[in-house]
Amino acid sequence: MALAESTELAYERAFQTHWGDVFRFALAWTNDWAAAEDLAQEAFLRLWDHRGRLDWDRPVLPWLLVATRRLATDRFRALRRRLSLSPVSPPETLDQGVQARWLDVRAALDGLSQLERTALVMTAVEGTSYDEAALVLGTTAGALRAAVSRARTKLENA
Amino acid sequence: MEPSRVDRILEEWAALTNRASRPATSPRRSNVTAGRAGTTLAGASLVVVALVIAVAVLGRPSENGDIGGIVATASPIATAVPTASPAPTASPTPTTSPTPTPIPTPSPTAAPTLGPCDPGSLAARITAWEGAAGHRIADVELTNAGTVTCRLATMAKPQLVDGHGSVLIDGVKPGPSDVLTVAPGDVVKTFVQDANYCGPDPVAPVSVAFVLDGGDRVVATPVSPTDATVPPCNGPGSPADVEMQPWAR
Repeated sequence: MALAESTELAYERAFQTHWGDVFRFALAWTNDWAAAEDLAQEAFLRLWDHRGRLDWDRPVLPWLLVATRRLATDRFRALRRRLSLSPVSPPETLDQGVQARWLDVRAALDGLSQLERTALVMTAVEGTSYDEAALVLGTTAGALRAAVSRARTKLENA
Repeated sequence: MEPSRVDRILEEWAALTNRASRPATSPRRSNVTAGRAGTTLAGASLVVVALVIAVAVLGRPSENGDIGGIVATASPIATAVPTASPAPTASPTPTTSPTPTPIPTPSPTAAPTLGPCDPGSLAARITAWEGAAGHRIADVELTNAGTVTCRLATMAKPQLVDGHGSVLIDGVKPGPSDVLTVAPGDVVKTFVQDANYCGPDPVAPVSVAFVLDGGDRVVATPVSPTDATVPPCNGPGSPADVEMQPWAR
């Protein structure tokens, strides 16, 4: 099989397998449904750009999550500022029946910092180990444990 | 035992995010290389010609953008666009004055053409290192410290280097890449990801370097003079790796 064709297949497989992981990571980081969809799209475009230079025998998800976090940091700072000033609207791609439920969850998690929210979701929902999550988030496992602890306290006392 | 408030919130979060629907097709970019053809008259003409040919062959252009679709095997535009050639500039027709007045005629001024950036005018520095599951990632800024605007290929051959400039991990020379125009003082950014260094302890400080098209090398100022951290050895049998993202603003 030609290299170009095999990397395209690998890319397609990564998209089918990991789009949900990337979206949820982006959602945990941004707490914004539409921004998370945009970030996931951007992260996969970056993967597409790099498909010819990646070692596809290695897990690609850490690469995608780090790329997503960097994109969120670099490109969505202004977006977040704007979102914080504008009224929250329900995500258009979510069924109307559950839009209100999402807005409730979003409001509950809004008091957490990005690191607290993402650390909590990664370890408690996704089942990621502290060490792995710390590598993706560019921090230490100890700092991550502290962030998760703070997040739980905040949510319990909210 | 009744679930805590935190558990209830997280369960709801998980239930809702499971409803997120993946886009029908994976995002892809058309592979236009070696400069953006659309920015030049010649490039635009070639795209138009390619489209005309495509319409003639296929009957009508695709409505759903097959370039981004899973079934697309090739992008007709990408394959039809060669390396960008300079747009033909209209050459002024020399006019001969019927009267032999000794007015000096202004010499035609050549349109300014931007040259490639002088490697000596490029200043790179690592702003941070991050870790990611067996990898290390350097955030790098590159400044045009010169006095002229120049053209910078968005891709170079990256290297992980030690304090003596010796190459610890050598990257791959890229193919043709897009070009950025960088004015004096402009800053562009990238990140360089490296993995699987199984050699001896390096001489500090470890940094990254970029080998430009002409063979010159720009070494980034390290994040600290004592940093000798290298990516973990994942196995001597596996190849070491260093890759860069395209330079971007």
